[in-house]
Amino acid sequence: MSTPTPNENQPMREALQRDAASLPEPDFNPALHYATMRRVRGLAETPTRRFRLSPALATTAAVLALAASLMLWQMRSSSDHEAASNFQPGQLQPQPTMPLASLLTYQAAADKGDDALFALLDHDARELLPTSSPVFNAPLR
Amino acid sequence: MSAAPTEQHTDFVALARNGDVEAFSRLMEELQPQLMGQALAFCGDNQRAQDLVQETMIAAWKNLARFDGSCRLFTWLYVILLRQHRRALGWFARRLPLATLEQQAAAGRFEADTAIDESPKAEAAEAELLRAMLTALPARHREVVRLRFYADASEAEIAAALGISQGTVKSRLHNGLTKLRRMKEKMNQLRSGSH
Repeated sequence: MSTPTPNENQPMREALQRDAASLPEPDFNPALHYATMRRVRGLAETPTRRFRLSPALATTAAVLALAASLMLWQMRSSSDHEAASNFQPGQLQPQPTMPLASLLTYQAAADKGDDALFALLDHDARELLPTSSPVFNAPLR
Repeated sequence: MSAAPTEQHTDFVALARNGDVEAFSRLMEELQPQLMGQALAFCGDNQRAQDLVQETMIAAWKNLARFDGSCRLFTWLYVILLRQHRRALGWFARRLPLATLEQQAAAGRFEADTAIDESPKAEAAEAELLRAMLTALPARHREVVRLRFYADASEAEIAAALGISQGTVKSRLHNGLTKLRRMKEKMNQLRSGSH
C-alpha cells in the first residue's frame, strides 16, 4: 500500500481551513458570562481548602491507622516471642490423649472385675501397638 | 481566529492561577465569543452551546493549576471544550459509523450539485458533509484535526495540550486527513451514483 504524500491531503486541509474560517463568532454574551462567573465565585468561596485538605486528612488517617496496626502487630509478635523464649521442655505437660468416655469405660470394666479390665486393656493395646510388640507374647495375665 | 497570547493575558493567567476570580473573569470575557463559535459548530443549538461553554469555563477554573502555559490558553480551553462535549454526549459520543454517513450520502442528504458548486447552498452542503465526516473520525484523530484547523493550534501546541509527542500529533493529523480524504472520495462516488 502506497503512503499518500502530504499534497494528496492538501484539498482536505484547505476545506477544513475554509470551514473553520466560516464559523460565525457570536457577540459576547453578558448573561452567560454573569451566570458562569457566579458559579465560579461560588466555587471560589466554598472552601477549596477543605477539598485540598481532605486528601491530606485521609493520608494522615491512613498513616495513623497503619502505625497503630504495626504497633499492635509488633506487641503481639513480641509477646508470642516472649512465650516461645520462656518455654522449657520440662514444663511440657503430656496432654491426656484418652477421652473421658474411655476412662469411664475402664472404670466400668474394673468394676466388673480384673478379667474384664485386662480384656479391655488387651483390646486397646492391639489397636495402638503393632502386633509384633512383645506385650502380646507375654500377656499381662 | 484564536487569541494571540499577550503580556497582559499572561499576567491575568498568573493571577487567575493564584485564585484571582476577577482575572479569570477578564480572560473568560475575552475568550467567550470564540468558544461559543466552536461550541455552536459542535452542538448546532444555542442553549446547548451555552451550557457547554459554561461547563468548559467551570472545568477550566477548577483545573487552572494544571495549565502550565506550554500552549495558548485558548488551545487548552478548546481541549476542555472537546472533552466536555464528548462527556455530555455520553454514549452518543461514539463516532458516527461511516455506514450511516454513506447511507445519508446515498439518500442525497449531502447533495451538492457540481454545476452550482459556488452557490451558498452547495457550500453549506459541503460544510455539513465535512462536519459529518469529522464526527465519523476516531476520537483521537478528530481531536487533533479540530485543534489544528479549528483552534489554529500548532503541532507543538497540540502536543503540549494533549500531553503527547509531536510525532504522534503529526501521525494522527496525517491519518485523520487521509481518512477524511478517502471518506470524501467515497461520498462523491455515492452522490454521483444517486443522481
